[in-house]
Amino acid sequence: MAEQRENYKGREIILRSGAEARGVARVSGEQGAIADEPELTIDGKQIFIVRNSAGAYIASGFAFDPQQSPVDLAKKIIDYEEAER
Amino acid sequence: MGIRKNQSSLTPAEKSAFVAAVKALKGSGIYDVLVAQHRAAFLAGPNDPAHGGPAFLPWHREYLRRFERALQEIDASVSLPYWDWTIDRTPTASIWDSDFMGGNGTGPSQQVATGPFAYSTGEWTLTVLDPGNTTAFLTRAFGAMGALPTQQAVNTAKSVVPYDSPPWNAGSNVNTSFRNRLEGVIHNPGHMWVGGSMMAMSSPNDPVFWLHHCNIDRLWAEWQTENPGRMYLPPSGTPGVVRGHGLDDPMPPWDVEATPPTPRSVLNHHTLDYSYDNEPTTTPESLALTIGAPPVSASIGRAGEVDIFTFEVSAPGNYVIETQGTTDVVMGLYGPDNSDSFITEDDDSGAGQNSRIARDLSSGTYYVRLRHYSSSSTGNYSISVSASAEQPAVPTIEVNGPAAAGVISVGNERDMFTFNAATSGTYTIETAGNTDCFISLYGPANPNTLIAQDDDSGPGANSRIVADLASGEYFVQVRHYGPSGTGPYNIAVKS
Repeated sequence: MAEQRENYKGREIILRSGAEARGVARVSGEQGAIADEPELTIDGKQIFIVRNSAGAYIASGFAFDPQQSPVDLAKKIIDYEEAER
Repeated sequence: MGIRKNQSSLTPAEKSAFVAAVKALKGSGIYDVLVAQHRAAFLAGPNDPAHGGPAFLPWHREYLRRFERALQEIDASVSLPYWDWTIDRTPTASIWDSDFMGGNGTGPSQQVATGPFAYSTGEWTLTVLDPGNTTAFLTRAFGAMGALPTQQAVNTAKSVVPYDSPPWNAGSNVNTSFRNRLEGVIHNPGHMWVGGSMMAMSSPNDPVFWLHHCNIDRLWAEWQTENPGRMYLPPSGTPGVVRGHGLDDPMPPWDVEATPPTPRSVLNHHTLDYSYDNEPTTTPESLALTIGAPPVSASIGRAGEVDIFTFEVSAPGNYVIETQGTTDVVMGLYGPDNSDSFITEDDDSGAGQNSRIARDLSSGTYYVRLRHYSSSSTGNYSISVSASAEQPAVPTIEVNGPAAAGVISVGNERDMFTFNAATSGTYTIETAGNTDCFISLYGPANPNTLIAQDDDSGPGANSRIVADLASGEYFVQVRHYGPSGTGPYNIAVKS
């Protein structure tokens, strides 16, 4: 198991990979290629992520700004949520 | 044939008809089936048949056409409009009026509360959502995540050739992949600027999705017109290409159909029975050139215009086609006897920024297509064809011999080399030096048959292609990675 924690603009980003992530219940429905994806949460809320053809990450509700790492993706999501306030 | 119009030119009645058909499709449940297809494509991750690969444009062309046909079953007068965000780029543009797409999201939830697609109408409840999302209403947040593409950015994207390049995915170099530049640099920001629902895998929930993609499809059609013969890449079976992205691959999710669409089947949008309102209404007339006659005056009279000339070669030999003047034109040569059979293209091999092509030609009719280097510029020029002296020889690289020296002396210059693979085997073609070269390998025997391309697989910014080749003559084209880059380089071939 590997876990990475980071605070960004007062929000807590947690990235888990390996067995820890795989043990977490996944969002049901069409899951495609997510089986080995890490688990990403922002303030405890799980973010559905999937890798694109180039290995970059996109997220549920955030499909058009791929990021090279889940943490970068989480920061983009936080930026968006901050901008729309 | 339906004509897709700029949304800003629609009459109130046309807007009303489009909105009514969209809402009827939503009411029938078909609209949400289409949304689910788009979401499912994203959820396929690395195997996405619709995004992050060569089929991004063909897949969406097919997808939009199916949507449009569904609308036309409801109202035969309806065609998809396009949203030209290089012009209509503010939250107060008429596209967002309450009689059409409705306005920006408001409040903490960014809910769209105006227009025909507001949740309060009771006719636009989102049922196909991204995983984990439960928001049943349309959301938008104009400009929260960046700006809309500019005309300059569009012009730059449209100047990129070829259509696509290895690794044939979202990582393809945007200077050597028109598709990836259009997708990543132009298309993605459109989704991000609208924000909210448009940023989701299920982005067709926002009807402006169709208008945005219609504009992307229009830009692809324009690129195709400006680059005839620049075929879709890659061919089916190219290693590393995701299923559905090869030229003749059936495109999922329609690959289960009896005659599934392929990228090839949608390359000519006119065969899909639609056109755009800014296309020439008639096939451009060509002007015949006489070999050896004085230059003929012509002009690019409007932005994006393509002038077509023909000439007849009765005696095989070497001929020079060249332009004169101060207009920076790009010239493509096609034939013989087939206006779509691409031979070569040149930008600045003539004096100043003039084009010049010297070529051995067999008998037949040849076609010359001329456009301005910049798709937003105009200007006068003249053009002539002459029987020439010897064509400059293509330098030969000796396999396992010393490296050949070359220089990219002006922007967009393309140097061609040839080498002979005496036996079948693995060959390494590699540049050396401090110039960031980009190489393309063609052959055998035919300098127009692309085998592979590479930017930086060699040391530093050098290019390297390792390929298993049958015996024969091969061609290596060298250019700078950047459109305006110059510099010296060496190139060698080893077996």
